[in-house]
Amino acid sequence: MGFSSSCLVAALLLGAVSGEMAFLSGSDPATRRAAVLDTATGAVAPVGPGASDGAPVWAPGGARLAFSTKGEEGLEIWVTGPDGGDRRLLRMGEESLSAPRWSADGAKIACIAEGPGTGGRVVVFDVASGESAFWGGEGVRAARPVWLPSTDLMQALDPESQSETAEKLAPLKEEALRDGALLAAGIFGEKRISTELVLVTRTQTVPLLPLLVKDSARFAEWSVESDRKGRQLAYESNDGGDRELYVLGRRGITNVSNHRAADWNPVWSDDYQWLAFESFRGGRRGVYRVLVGTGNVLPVAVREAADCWAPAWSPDDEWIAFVSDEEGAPQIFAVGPAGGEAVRLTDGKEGALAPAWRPKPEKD
Amino acid sequence: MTKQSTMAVRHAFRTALCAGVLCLLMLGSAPASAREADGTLGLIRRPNNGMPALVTPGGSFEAVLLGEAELRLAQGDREWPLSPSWTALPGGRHAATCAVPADVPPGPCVLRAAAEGVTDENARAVWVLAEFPKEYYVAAHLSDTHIGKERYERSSDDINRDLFAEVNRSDAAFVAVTGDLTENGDPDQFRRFLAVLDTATLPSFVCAGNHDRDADAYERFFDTSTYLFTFGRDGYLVYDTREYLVADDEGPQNGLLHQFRRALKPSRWTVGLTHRHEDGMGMRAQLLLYVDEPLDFLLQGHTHTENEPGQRVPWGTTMQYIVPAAIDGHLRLLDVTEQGVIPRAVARPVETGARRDGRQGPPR
Repeated sequence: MGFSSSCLVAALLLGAVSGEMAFLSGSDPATRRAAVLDTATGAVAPVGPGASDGAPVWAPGGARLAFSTKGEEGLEIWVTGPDGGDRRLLRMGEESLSAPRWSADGAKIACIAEGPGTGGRVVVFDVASGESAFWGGEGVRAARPVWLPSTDLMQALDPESQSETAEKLAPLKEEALRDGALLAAGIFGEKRISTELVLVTRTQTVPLLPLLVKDSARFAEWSVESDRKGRQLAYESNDGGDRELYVLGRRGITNVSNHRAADWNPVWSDDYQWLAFESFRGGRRGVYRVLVGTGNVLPVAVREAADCWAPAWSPDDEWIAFVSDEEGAPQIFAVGPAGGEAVRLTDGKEGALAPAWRPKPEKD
Repeated sequence: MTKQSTMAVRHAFRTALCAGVLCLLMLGSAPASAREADGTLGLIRRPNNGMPALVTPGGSFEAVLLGEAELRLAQGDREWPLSPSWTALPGGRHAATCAVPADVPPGPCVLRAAAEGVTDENARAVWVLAEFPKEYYVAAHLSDTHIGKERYERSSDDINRDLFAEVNRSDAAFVAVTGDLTENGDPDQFRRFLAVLDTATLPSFVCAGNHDRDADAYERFFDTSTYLFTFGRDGYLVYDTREYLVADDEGPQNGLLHQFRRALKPSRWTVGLTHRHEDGMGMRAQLLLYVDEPLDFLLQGHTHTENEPGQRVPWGTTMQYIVPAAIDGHLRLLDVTEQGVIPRAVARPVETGARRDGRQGPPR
């Protein structure tokens, strides 16, 4: 099929970029397709059915992919190999499933279920058996779940073992140690809704920031991401008047982007020293990076008359892939973290979105 | 400004518009939307009769074309050559900044383009206004025209044509049609909608609804569903909440929304025009438009029912006005004043005839 034909021009342009990348191909959201790009050759292998496929996410080690797609009963989750083979279908009754994320051991997938009477709940699938269960208890709406790779951060939240915080977290920790824990954006309220970062375990959902910041409920948080070790969380909040990036770590909470323009979508580097993110500080939406320890912000991909978004670090942190509409239809480019000349990775024939580099295989 | 002088300005504004329209009708040479033979947009992408440019004599507007061309404004048999300054846009398009000659009288203009043997024109694409109202004007709101859905004895074309005639008889300065223009996005339905739309004797702004989606059908007829315009001191942000795209945090719309929202920040009132709102939709757009930089007002359709009194978008700030469906004979006028956008009662001035299925009342 034309979709999978490699593009000579792209191949010639690829330079030193290498590795595989999952992405979404297609200009019409209704027919977007999950696919895998070989950045060395430009060859594209479709892995999804092209039915409103969602952004693909790699399992740790890169052996498998997961993404949502539209089935007969609503959105379902497909789990496939990098070539689209060995497909498993994850469904849960009439629930519409989206936003899948893999656990650190690759054994579980968390996602959001919406259906009759379910306005967005966290569901966790056991990938091998396909068995599923709602997590987080009753009555809490949630969005955008991510796994907490370790409980290190939870240890840091209660340095005083007799504190009220420690008391609240004790049963949560017990479950987290046994089954794992997730972070998500909890959606609270009906007539006046807001978002709040929450910790989710098998039976409990606990707002995270009120444990640390008394008036956190005044603000709307979003896009929480844990570093690879689970020791620092990056998230965004409108605390401070506009949307900023914050990092929660052992030293407390720090505003790391601090600019009057909006800053969105933090993405950790593999060495968890840097966050790539989107910002409007240059006028149009551009990709920047910040050294988390100092708050030093540097441009990565910024265009005067086009947007750049959706940054994704390569597994070795040598490249940052991003999407730009500088040639019209959105395409995926790669650039070194220091910026400079970007390399177009996709062939320009169709829109290309949501890049995700294939992780390095895990060591035994 | 006193109420009397406000009324005088409003009267002068309406008189100038009506005079221009009547003049063109009397000349009998106002062409229908030329576009392509099949009704889709040709060389001229914007402005068009679904997203017109509003200017005062001597002011300027921006046109977007597929290539550089000789541009003219026309009213009846009079033509004014334009001297645009051109800028290349991503994707091979070209933007023309056009100053409107000071002697163009108020009223609708045809925008004509000629380049290398290719000609194109779009009627009702540019509206020259004697002046913009400073404090007070009236806007008309229609939604869910559903051209092609034949649920009543009277055809959908006739019902909607009569509604536009009512709008023409009102004191509205412009009309917004917030989506579900067609029943299922069929090109013939879009052509029928255009025929109805062009009966409007005032500027008409449209956006896409979930029913208008059949691949890129909407874009082929109206170019984009995400744009802004200003009217006097007020800013209007038109955006797309179609099925699938509403949850689309991957594509370019979020960047555009931020850019447009920021451009409208100096406005007296900022008003969103979209087809639908549900709080499970694309969270980034919701945070941007209802939390971080909340719109003052949101005009929408989709539900075919009226909003509750005092209804707000559930994030708490933005007033939400929902107009029942035009296909059921409904429209609403809104007074735009120093005190805000104040909705009048929903009117049902048009008889639809009995339902074809023999049941009573508007179906849902």
